[in-house]
Order: sequence, then structure tokens, then C-alpha cells
Amino acid sequence: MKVGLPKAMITYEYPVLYTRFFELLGIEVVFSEDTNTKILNDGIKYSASETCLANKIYLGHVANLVERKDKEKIDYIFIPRVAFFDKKETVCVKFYALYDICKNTFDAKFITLNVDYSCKETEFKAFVSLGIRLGFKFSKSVMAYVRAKKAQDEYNKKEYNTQVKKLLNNKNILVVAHPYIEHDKYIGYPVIKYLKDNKYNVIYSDVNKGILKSSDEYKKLSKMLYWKYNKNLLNGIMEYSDKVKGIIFISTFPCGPDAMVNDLVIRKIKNKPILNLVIDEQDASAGLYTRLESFVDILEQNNIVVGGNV
Amino acid sequence: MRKKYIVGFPVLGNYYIPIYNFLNNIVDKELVEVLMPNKITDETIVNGAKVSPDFVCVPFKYNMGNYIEAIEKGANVLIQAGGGCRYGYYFELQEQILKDMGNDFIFISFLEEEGLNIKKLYNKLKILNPNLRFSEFCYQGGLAVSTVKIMDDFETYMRNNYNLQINENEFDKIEEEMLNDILKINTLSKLVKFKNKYVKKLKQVNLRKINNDDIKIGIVGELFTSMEPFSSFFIEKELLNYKCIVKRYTTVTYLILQKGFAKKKVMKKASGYIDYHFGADGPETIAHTLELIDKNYDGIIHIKPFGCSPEINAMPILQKISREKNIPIMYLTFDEQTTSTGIKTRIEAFYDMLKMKKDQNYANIKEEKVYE
Repeated sequence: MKVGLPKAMITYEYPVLYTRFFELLGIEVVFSEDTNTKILNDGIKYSASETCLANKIYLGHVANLVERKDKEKIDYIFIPRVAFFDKKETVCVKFYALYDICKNTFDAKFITLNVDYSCKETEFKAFVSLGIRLGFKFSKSVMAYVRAKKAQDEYNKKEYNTQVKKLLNNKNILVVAHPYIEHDKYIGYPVIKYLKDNKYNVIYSDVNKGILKSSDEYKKLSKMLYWKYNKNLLNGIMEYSDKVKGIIFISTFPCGPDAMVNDLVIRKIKNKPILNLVIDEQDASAGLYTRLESFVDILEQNNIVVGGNV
Repeated sequence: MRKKYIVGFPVLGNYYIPIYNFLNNIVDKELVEVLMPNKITDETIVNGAKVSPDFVCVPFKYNMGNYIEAIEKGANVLIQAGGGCRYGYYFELQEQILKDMGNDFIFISFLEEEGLNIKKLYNKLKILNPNLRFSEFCYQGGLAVSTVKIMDDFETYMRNNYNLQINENEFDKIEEEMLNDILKINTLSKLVKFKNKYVKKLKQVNLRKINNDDIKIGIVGELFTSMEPFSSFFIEKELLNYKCIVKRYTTVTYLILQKGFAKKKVMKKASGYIDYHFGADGPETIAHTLELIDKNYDGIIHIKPFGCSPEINAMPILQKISREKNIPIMYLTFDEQTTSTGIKTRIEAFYDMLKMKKDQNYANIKEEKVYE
């Protein structure tokens, strides 16, 4: 059996969990290609015009898999539906609807798993029932989930440890963006590449999942916050911000949660230079580089007075 | 001399009247003055948009405009009652923005992080009246909810039958009078009297029957743009001018009293297209659209603020429904712009199209009959 995974949005949040789960069940996993112009254009074609760029790109990736499915014999395209987590944490409503939108837009076989703690659909239950639906035994599904989960945790820990080691450098710059934005070839990659080319050490604020001692640090920035992935980013800001020279926020146009949370956080952080980048589907990059260049110039002026304290 | 606390709150359609009445009934009048908010104008949204994040949804911007106007009139206690979707997060950001602008005020949110908590709300509102008893608070709260329910029933009735009136403008007069009367309600018996009075009045209005050639249009979509006429450029009034029959589902009553119970029904109705709930009123939009199609409505208008994710989620599915069931659906998005010409043109064109489609169908049916 072969399962296709779109390399966008939710897949980046759990880079190991899904693939590992399928592999342990003996299912081959095929990814969509890296984001390219065709994927972007397909995404724009298939989505409503006001959809956020990340979601458009997701549809582009699904279209890529749909195109390849006959030739490469992909049986299913896997689109998880993630809604509510423990303690009333939720995610952007875009994640709620990915499966239903794809089902109504494309003509292909989709499978899903439903994580929704408000309907008592725990992650464990979701994975096990997915395994059973794919024709595997209960015990095998449980084993696959447990081991995949462990692998994901280990991956997170490893990522975190390498990042902490990197912090010793004094040219750190913190990038605050969802993983599906900062690692995407079209959205985040040009920014990251520019920074790395300029000898900056890029620190990702999302690398801290389940590692930090206290996961309530975000409350110092935003008390009411209920979006799980944004909480994670804010935890990252609290963890890393005193060790970096500047902070870059990257979001897509028009990202719902980021529009509000980033605005609030930028209002609250007063002692660091901040650049807020909002990226849309126009593909001219001159504006982006001008802004990055001037931001880097600001960071280079060591004696600049930030926040008014001399 | 001005009172110690001056309370301001944002506007949503005509609901500001029952809210004003509720606050006025519970506060200590020696200590507190409740401001009657201004009706929304162009200036409200221009001022609100100036200080809001760029692509936050438009209700946020209207709220900000309302707060700024209230603060100009001297308000030092502001109230936010929104919850769910992104509304739940408005409170924190709005507080921060207004404080950054240099204002000093107390901000009361009706909702907690975990949702509505009556006891905590009571404690918060005690600041406006230290002698407020819990029983009194609950009584007035219940009264306010019942008032909203009755007001919604009347307004829905008037909206549905507006173009069936035989004498024009009768409903307008009744509505104006009704809204004034709401301000006098402070006990249950007065509410009952109020209800009886207007049931009688509404019954006296002569209505004609619905004809086959009446154009029927349903409005579905996001709650704020549905309920606050200014934010959708008075789209309902505009449609009513074309002598359409207009139906809309979203009311405050629906949101606070019925939505929770209707969830299963909604998902069942929409199950042909969607498997899961996708946030806020998205699935409702789909279920209501299907219901309107069953009721032989001629066209559907889907409205939302710019960037409203749940409604954008619903759009690809609505497009599919539109193709499969052959029903025209017009998608309108509202943001901070203040000219209505574009919307008016689109409504006119939509109406003309529906009319032509209907005439065509009518002609076809007649032709077939002749042919037989």
C-alpha cells in the first residue's frame, strides 16, 4: 500500500509522527514535491481567493499528489483533521477543514484521522482507528502509534539540543513562524537563506515542543491565547529572546491567528529590534530583500539604542 | 458632575438596546452612567481601522471604533462580550491597543479563558454596583436574554414579511416604537405586557400571500456582517427595496440559545458534503444553504468579513453545491471600505439575473404546457 503526504502545513508540525506510523505498519509513504511555481499556481487555482497562502500551497501539494496518483499507484492521500487538544487548546480553523475542502475539491481517495478532544477523540484513539480502517490489527496499530510518538518526541529533543548548542554563537537571530512557513521552499526559505548567507545563526522559536520545563511561559506575553501552535511560538520567544540580536516574524497573508497574536507580541516586546514580514503570493522578491537588508543593517550597528535605555 | 464610572460598549445591530437596558438595570445609578452608544458611521470604521492590525477581521475594527467614540464621550469602563473563533481573543488585543494609545480604563470581558462563567461575571460586574445581589443579577440576565429572544422573533417576522405588507412602512413604524419600548422593560411582567402589545400590533398588519413570481433570497454567512447592517452596507434593506423576500438565519438568539442544540442537526444536514465541523458558523452556512435550496429559494448571498477563515472554509463547498444544485450564490466580502456603490451594483446585477432566470423558467414551463 502507498500513502501520499502533502508536504505543507500540518505535516510540518509532526514531521516524524505520521511518516513513522505508516512505515511501522509497512505502508510506503510518498511526499509531494517541494513547493515550486506549479504547485503554487495550482494551489491558487483550486482555492478560494481569500484563503491564506499556506492553505493555498497545501492545496497545491494535494493537487501534485492527485496528478501523480495513477502513475505512481498512490492508494490514498492522507489529510489529518486536527481540531481540539487537551485543556481546550485549539488550532486555526483552517486545520479543521483541510480534509473536507480537499474531499470537495479533488477527485481522489483520501484518508483522515480526527484529533478532537472536545468529542473525546484523543490522538491515541484517532491513530488506532486509522490503523484499523487501513486493515491492521488493533495491537499492531497501538504499537505503531506508541513507537511513532516516541520517535517524534526523540526527534523534538534532538532538534532542541542542537539548537541550544547553536545559541553559543553571538550572531543569533530568532525567527518566529510556524514550521510550515519557515521550512517551506517558497515562503520562508528565501528569508532563512538570506540570513544564513549573511553569517547569521538562525534560531527557530517553534523548536521547543514538549521539552521546556514550564509550558505556561506564553502567559507572560498573552494570557488569553488558546491556539496551540501559537502558544508554542510564544514559549519559544520567552525561551530564546534574551539570547538573540533581533526577532523576525514571518506570517502568510492573511493568517488568522498570527494577525492578532503577532501584533500583540510586537506591542509587548520593547527591547529588541523586530521585523514583521507578511508574505503573499506575489513573486517579486525585491521588496523582501530590501527590508531584510535594512534590518540586518540595524542589527550591525552595535551601539544602537534600543528601547530608549542608554 | 459626572459619575465615577462611565460605561461604554460596542454596537451590534439593534442589540445595543437590550444590552443598554440590562446594564442600566443592574448598575448603581448614583455611581455609574451607562452611555448609549452612537450608531455606527463612516467615521467609526475609519478610526477603528486606523489602530487595528491590518488583516484582523472587520468586527474588531468596528469594535475599536466604538470604543474610541465611547472614550471620547468620557467612558472609563469598557465592555467586550464576544467569544469563540477569533472573537475570544479580541479582548486582550483591544485592551493592549487602547492602553498603548494612552487611555486609562477598566476593561470587562464577559467571557473567561475557559468560556462563560456566571459567578465570575457577577463578581466583575459588582464593580458597577457593590450592592448587586446574585439573585437580582441572574434575574436581570434572564430578562435580558428573554428580551433579546422576543425582539429577535419580532424582527425576524418583520424581515420575512416586509415585502408582503399591503400598506407600506407599517413595520418600520412598529420597529421604531418597539425599540423605544424595550428601554422601559425592567421586570418580567413588563416584558410580558410588551410582548402581548406587539404581538397584537404585528397581527394587525395586513399581509398578502407569497406569489410564485416573488424573488426569494437567503442570506447566509458570518454573524457580525449578518447582524450589523452598517457593516454589510444595509444589504437587507437594499434587497427589500427590490421587493425580494429575504431570509436570514443568524440572530443572537440563534447563537446563544439554539446553536448548541442544533449542532447535530446541522452536521446531519450537511453530511452529504462535509464530515467534520470546521469552526464557528461554517457548517451552519452549508446546512442553511441546503435548507434554503430545499425551500426553493431563488438565490443565496454569502457574506463575510475579509479573512474570516471558517466562512472561507465553507466557500469551496458552497461552490460545489452551487454547481451541483444549479443555484446562484453570490459571495460578498466586507472590510473597512466605506463606499457602497460596488455592492449596490452587484446586488442589482444579481437581482436582475435571478429575475431573468425565473422568468425564463416560467416561460419554459408555460411553453411546455402549450406544446403538450
